[in-house]
Amino acid sequence: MTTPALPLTIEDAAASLRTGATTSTALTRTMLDRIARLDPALGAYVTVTEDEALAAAAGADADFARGCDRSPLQGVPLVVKDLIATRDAPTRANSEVLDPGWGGGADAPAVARLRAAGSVLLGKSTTNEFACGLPERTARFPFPRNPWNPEHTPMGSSSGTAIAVSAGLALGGLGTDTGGSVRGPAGANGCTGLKVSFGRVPKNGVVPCAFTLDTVGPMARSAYDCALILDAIAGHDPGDPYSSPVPPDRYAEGARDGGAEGLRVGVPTRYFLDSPLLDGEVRTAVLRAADELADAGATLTYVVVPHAQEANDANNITFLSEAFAYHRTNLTGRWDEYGRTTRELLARAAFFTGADYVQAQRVRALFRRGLADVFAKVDVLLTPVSFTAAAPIATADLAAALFRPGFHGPWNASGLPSAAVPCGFTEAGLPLSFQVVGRPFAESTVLRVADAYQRRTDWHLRVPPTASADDASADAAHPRAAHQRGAHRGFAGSTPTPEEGAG
Amino acid sequence: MDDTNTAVDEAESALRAAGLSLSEDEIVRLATGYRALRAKADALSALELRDDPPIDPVAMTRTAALPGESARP
Repeated sequence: MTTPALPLTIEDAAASLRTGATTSTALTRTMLDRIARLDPALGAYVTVTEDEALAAAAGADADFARGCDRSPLQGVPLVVKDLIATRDAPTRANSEVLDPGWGGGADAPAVARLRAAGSVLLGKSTTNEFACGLPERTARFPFPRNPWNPEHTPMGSSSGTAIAVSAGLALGGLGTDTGGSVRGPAGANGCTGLKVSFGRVPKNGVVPCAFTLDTVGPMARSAYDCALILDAIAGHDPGDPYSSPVPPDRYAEGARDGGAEGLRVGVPTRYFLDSPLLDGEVRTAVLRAADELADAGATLTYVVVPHAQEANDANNITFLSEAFAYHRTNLTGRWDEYGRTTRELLARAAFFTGADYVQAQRVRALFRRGLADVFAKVDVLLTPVSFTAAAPIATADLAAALFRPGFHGPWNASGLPSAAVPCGFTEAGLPLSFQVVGRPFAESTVLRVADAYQRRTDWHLRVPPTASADDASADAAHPRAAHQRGAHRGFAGSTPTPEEGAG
Repeated sequence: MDDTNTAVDEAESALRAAGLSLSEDEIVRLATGYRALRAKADALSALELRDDPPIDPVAMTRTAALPGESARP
């Protein structure tokens, strides 16, 4: 039996499924085989729901055969972060502490919507414990590895979904983002990830991290694929008190609505591009991306985002305080059952007072007021995703992120949408990424900017050497499988400085 | 050295007040960041915002407008 060529994107897969070039069953079988071959070394999956996935794929094929086409996701294999409840697999949050029955055997609304759209769920992806700690080699959960260099961190906490997408073990999936957990791993692993506006996607059925910051968002190779997923999962759900009544856009349509022509892109200097902590390769790649957008018709403006540092600190205080409030009883009674980095991160919330928490909420409001002035001048902001490319695992330090500036937290604090978009590689062969930030609920604009960039570049289509080496043998009958195009070969060289993140 | 000891004492006191009884090693490890985290919280407290309302996470989900803007479509 030959292995069918593997589409690189959801967009490609959707086209192939509709022309009959492939079937969902063949596509799903290929993914499952790749997971079996590659995932023991990558640690992207906590649970693979093979039987359920093949049954869903057969259902999708039957639907196609009788002319039923639910959405562009029909028959497309996706993965769900193991913080989000699914009916066919336990939700563990990478922890021995969480009740094994958490979620009650039901799908979270975001998952139910993916199923209703006809997608095929391959299983649950690795996360950091409760979206907080660092992976531990001694735990009985998979240890996630960056497919571009297994000795470098894949970042967290939506590491599993990012690894799976990058290595071709799923075409897309769901992550969660409280302080950068979609954007950090997307950036580290070379895929696209969207942190949605607070309230855009219902978060009931998701293990809480910080209740005023948590979001559920799409991750995939391309911004357009993220838009296809967002089209399925966005919208109000009465079970989530923070679920927005603002009607969702048609995101895929919006992403292709006009390109970058006429858009005003703000490039923040102070705190962002001017930071002395920013690695030179990152700065160069981000500025090159800005120039690419200018060539595509966008207008670049250098701007100052007031109180960005304070907003990031307010996010950290909020994150830790709310997460500690959720875990306090278990931390006092079951301290040793938590991973060391998780419990020691959460315990630091004790250093803040109630007044600190309230002041952090005032600072968040102050930051949003300042953003009104910024977004009067620009449509989106363009920043780095992280100060450096992915750090070596040995030097990754979760707590250190609390003491440094950060590029993720301000947008969680303010509830704005922001996407991580691949924009190059370091000399050492590690992915680089920029961040696009939009107004509240302007996901379409954010995705439009990202899509405009991705239609002029192919960084998001590069395949890690480990995954492409596997393809060379497995897909021998198809020597130029679609996902090999532009495969990045990597270089030898430098070592980035430590960088890690949580939430 | 005195400052280090004070930071450890203050960190331990805060951890105990939160109901956490940790080992000496854990307290010392956590205390290394105590001053830096307090400095960040104190810097936020120095902003004169006591008459400002805190962010309302529910209200934030109700509109695409930023504060001070009129309602956006």
